[in-house]
Order: sequence, then C-alpha cells, then structure tokens
Amino acid sequence: MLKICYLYPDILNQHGNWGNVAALLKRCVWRKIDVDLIKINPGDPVDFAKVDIVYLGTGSEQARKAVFDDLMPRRDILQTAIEQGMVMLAAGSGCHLLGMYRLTEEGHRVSSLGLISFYTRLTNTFLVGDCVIGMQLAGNEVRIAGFENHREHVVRSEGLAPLGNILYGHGNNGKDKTEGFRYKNVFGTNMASLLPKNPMLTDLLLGAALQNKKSPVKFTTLDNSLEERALDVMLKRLLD
Amino acid sequence: MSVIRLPLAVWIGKLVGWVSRVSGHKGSSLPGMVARKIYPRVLTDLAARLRRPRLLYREDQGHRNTAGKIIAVTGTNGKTTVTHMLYDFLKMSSQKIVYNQEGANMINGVTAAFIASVGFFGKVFGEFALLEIDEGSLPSIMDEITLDILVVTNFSSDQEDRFSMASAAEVVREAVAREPSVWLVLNADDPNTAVLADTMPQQYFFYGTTAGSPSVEARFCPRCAKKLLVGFDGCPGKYACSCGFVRPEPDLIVEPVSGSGEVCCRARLTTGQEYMLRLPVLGAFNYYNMAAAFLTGICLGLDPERMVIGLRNYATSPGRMERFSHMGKPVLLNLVKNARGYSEALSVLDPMIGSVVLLLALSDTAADGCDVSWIWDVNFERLSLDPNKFGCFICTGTRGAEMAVRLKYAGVLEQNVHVIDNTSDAVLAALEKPGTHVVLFSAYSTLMPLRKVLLSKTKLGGPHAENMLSLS
Repeated sequence: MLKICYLYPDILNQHGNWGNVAALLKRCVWRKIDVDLIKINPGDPVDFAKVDIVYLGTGSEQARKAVFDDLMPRRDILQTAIEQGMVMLAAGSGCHLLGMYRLTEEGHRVSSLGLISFYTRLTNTFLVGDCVIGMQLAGNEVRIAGFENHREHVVRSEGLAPLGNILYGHGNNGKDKTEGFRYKNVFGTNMASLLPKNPMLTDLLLGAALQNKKSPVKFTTLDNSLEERALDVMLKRLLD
Repeated sequence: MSVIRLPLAVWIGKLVGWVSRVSGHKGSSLPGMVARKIYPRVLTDLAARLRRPRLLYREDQGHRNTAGKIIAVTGTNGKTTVTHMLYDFLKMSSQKIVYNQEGANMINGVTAAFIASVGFFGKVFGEFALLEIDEGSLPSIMDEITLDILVVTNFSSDQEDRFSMASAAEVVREAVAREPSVWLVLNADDPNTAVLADTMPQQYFFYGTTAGSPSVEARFCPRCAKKLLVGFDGCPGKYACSCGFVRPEPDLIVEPVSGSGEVCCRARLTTGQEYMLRLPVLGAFNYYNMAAAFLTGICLGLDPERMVIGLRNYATSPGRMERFSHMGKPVLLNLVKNARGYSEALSVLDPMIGSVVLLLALSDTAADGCDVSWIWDVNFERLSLDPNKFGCFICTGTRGAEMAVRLKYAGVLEQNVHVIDNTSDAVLAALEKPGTHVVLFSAYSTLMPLRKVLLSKTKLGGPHAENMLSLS
C-alpha cells in the first residue's frame, strides 16, 4: 500500500497542483498497486515516517505563509524522513519554501524551512514561459517539458544537484542554466503540473517509493503514447 | 495643435479600420493604436465630447440622476455577456451608444470604439459609452477617461502567466481607489470584488444570489489575508473573516428558479420590488451576469419591466452557450478561458439526457494564455463517471494532446479520446459521431474557426439541448 500525502489541497488548490497528484495516483491504479491518498490541511496530524510520497505544490504568497506556519513546527520530522530517503516532489512556491532562507528585494533574510541547501531571491524579474530541461534518468538524458512562472529565483549551493539543465527557458534563476534541484529522493522544480506529460519522471518517483518499501510489486510498463504526443508538441516547438 | 492632430488621428484611424475590415480582419483595435500614435490624447478628447443623455424613459420616477456617460464592465468572467446585456437594454431606448467590440477591451480597442462613433463633423454620436475593459488595462484607461459607473463581475484565476488572480484584484483596487467619484456595481459573492467597496467610492451597489457562490475561489480575506470562513447559516457561499470582513447584503438578490432550457430567477431589490428574470441561454453563471446588468440598469434609471423583456429576448454572443442544430441534433458552442468558467460551463451537461459528443479545444496562443496548467483545476473527473453519457471526446487546438492527457488522468477511457489537430476536421468528426448532443468547449483563439465550420455545416439556433429525446 503506497501512501501519497497531498499537502494543503485546500489552500494550494490551483495552479495545476492536482495534475501532479493525479499522475502519481493514476499510474499506481493502472498498475493495480494499492494506493492511499492522504490529504493534509493545516493542523492535521501526519506521520512523515509512515508516508511514502509527499507532494508540496505551488500557490499564492498568502498561502505560502499559512504553509510555512504549519510546516515549520514539523520540519525536524520532515528532515529525518528526507534523510531516510522519503520521496518528495515540491513545485513552485512549495519548492522555494524548502530552502534555507529567502532574500527579499531589500536584502533581508527571511527564514524558509531550511531543509535543502539552497536559498531563494525574491526579485522583480518574473521568469515566465515554457521550459524544457535535460534530466539524467537511468544513465540516459530525457527531455522534460513544463511551464514556469516565478519571481523567486533559486540559487543552489555548491553540492546540490539540479533537477536538470536548461534546454529552453529560464529555470532556477535565468543565469546558471539549471532548473530545480535533486537531493536524495526529493525533487524540486519551479514548474507547475510537471508530471502528467512526463511519465518517466512520475515513474521515477513511484519506483523510488516502491524500492524504499522493498516492495515485491512488479512495476509494469504502461502505454505512454498520449503523454508522449503531448510532450512531443512542446519539444518540437521549442527545440527544433 | 489638437485642432489638427485630433481630426487627423480620427480619420486616419477610421481609414485604417476600414482597410483592415475590407482585408478580412476585425479592425477593432488597430485604428485605436494608430490614432494614439498620431495624437496621444485622442481618447480623452473624444470621451469628453460624449453628449449627456437628454431623455431617459423613467425621468418621471424621480430616479437619482445617474445619467452615467461612461459605463465600464471589468472582471475575469462575464464581462462580454454583461456588457452585451447592457447594450441591449440601452438600445431599447434607441440611444446611440459607443460600444467596443468583443476582444477589443484594452486601450487601443476602447480608443477605436470612440473613433468609430465620430461623425463627419467631428461630433461623437453617443449618449452613453459602454465599455468592456480588461482588468489589466483598467488603470491606463482610467488615467485617460472618467468612468461614471464601473461594474466588477468577479476575479478568478485566469491567464496566470499575465498576472495572478490576486494581482488582477489589486490592480483594479488601486485604479478604483484613485477615483472615488466612480460608482461601483459589485458582486457581493466574490470576496475580492466585494472588498472594492473599501475604497470608499461615492456610491456602491451589490448584487448576489441567495445561495452565494457555490465555489468561492478566494480562500484568504482580501482585507487581512487570514483564511476565510466559508459556508454557514445554511448558505454555502457566505463568507466571513475574524477581522470583520463579511459578505455584504446585496441590494439586488437573485434566487434561482429551475427552468428548462433557460436560466430563470427571482430578483428582489432592497426596496421590496420583485421581478422574474428569464434568459434563454444556459449556464448557471448567467444568474450573476443578469444580476449585474439588471442592477446597473436600475442605477441608470432604466425601466425594470423593459429590462425583463430585454433579457427574455437576449441573443447570446458568439460562443456563449451558442446553439446550433445539425440533423435535428442540438449543438452547443461555448467559450472557456479559465478554470472557473470551464467548471461552470460543464454544469450545462448535467441535465442532458442521452449521449454527448464532446469537443474540447485547448490552445496556448498569446490570446489564450500560454500556461495551460489550469486545466488541472477543472473537474473533468465527473465526466468519467458516466461513460455511457460521455463516451466520445475529441481534443483539438494547439494543446489538444495535453487536453487528452488531462482526460486520461481524469479517468476517461483512452479509446474514447481522439486527438485531431486540425480544428475543422475535429468539428466535422464531432458532428458525424453518433450521439444525441454535440457540445464544444473552445479556447479563445479556436472559437471563430470552430464557429465558421459550424455556420457552414449546421443551422444557427436550435431546439433546447436538454429537451431532446431521452433514451429511457
């Protein structure tokens, strides 16, 4: 039984967050893998040690404060789970919250959750548009396409791996040609609803979660022709 | 210099418009753009020449002198419909109106509308100006002309790559705060809209429904940013915040009444007067559109009985639940631009009995908004619950394949989903598929191409969709 924890579905209820959750959920259902979706709203108890995949999505600036206030008291538990290999996907402002701190435009440091070694810089430059990255997956480079819209720029620390390198678009800060981050089984991205047409990434997360459980479940291949067609539209348009 | 530059700007603008239309384009914004380059003050000067109305057909009633010269409608959804309804009302007293065509709702389009209304000797023919205004363009337009009445329909997430819902509300709020003389007509059921009354305008009026909005999208209080309490007192849409911000009591409250093939409601003013409003168009959001237009009409001193008639005879704009019929089968065309509008549009499928062929056109041109992730905020899952009723989905548009992926993850069987990139082929396929209804949900940029095919292959107008034969 795979447990997927959807954080704050009520206040992070827009910006395509459901796409990421649906992708994870459905690809289990189609493989006849038992899956349980746990929705956690501020104040709800959750044991991160018992959860297999956590999704923290993107939302408004106001939502960010509510999320921070709820997650800060639980950050130590979250950190332990992350170090033990829990699978997590953080998108947009959810991703930004995991960093060490946020630098405001005036230069003040505002604490973030301090879970992953990067910081963010709040700027006046919106990085908006379609985005294609090259990501290492099982020794091959795969193309992942999505859409970014953020004025909070990400600056990774020296040892933190990116999610991928930019083939089109801005990514973390529009300067270092990287996008997102990857730490153990935590994947961070600036893009919203990334998973649906990037099933290889979804399967990577699911595979890692099943491996953690030492599950004997056979991970069958699914027909991804529809997803590939949708992905192809963007790759052809942006890379050719 | 304006003595020369103003007429020059106007006449060159008119010429540009004429050339544009003759060569097959809409010509609804270009004239404005060109004119503004010649004489930047063209809009301000023309707006100032709008004649005051001489005749209102309810003068005897001693209505407040709300003879507004310029009425504007803004908000995320419903602008075009509300403006169109007001146009019908004002037209009934056969007054000339400066009116900007759909889509031409930014500063160039508004300028073009005034240019179109200028007569040979430079007179602006119009007692009223009725303007649909894009939220982002409101500040720049308000910098140049003085609005008398501003109707704000709602704010919801739309084209988030342009600006977020919160920013659109902020932009409008700042613009309105600078002009307290504007009278506001506001949707009480949308917190981000209702809060505009805080800007202390000279006058403001609220409209709302008895149930409140079924899905309040704003989760946070626009005054203090704390989480809103939604749904109490047996009213799913009532909202309140601990800081004191609550859903205001509407001056005009509408109570939906079930009707078939039309939207019907009882409208009650705080004066106690009641009217039955009927609109021969589907779509629950039309309760709000009717309420907005009706209340604005009351502010203008229009005759309510005549407005009731106006609504009854309302002919929808292109793609607003537009009805066609093909070999006896009802065909419905609807424009969907954002998650909120889409969710509400899907509800027209509920009363349909039979099997519905759905064509979903999704595109990401600049006019549509480049970010399509909002489709994941629309409840398509409900369509997978009844595969007998919804057994055929045709996806088209520049992001048709992405829409198909959405459906797949919503639980729709892949064999029932067809991606046809060419929009004309897609429409033809939809019309040929077996089914009792054909319903098209179209992006902004695909609307006219789809409509063109429908006009050539089907008959405009048609039987009420859900009056069609039931299979039971």
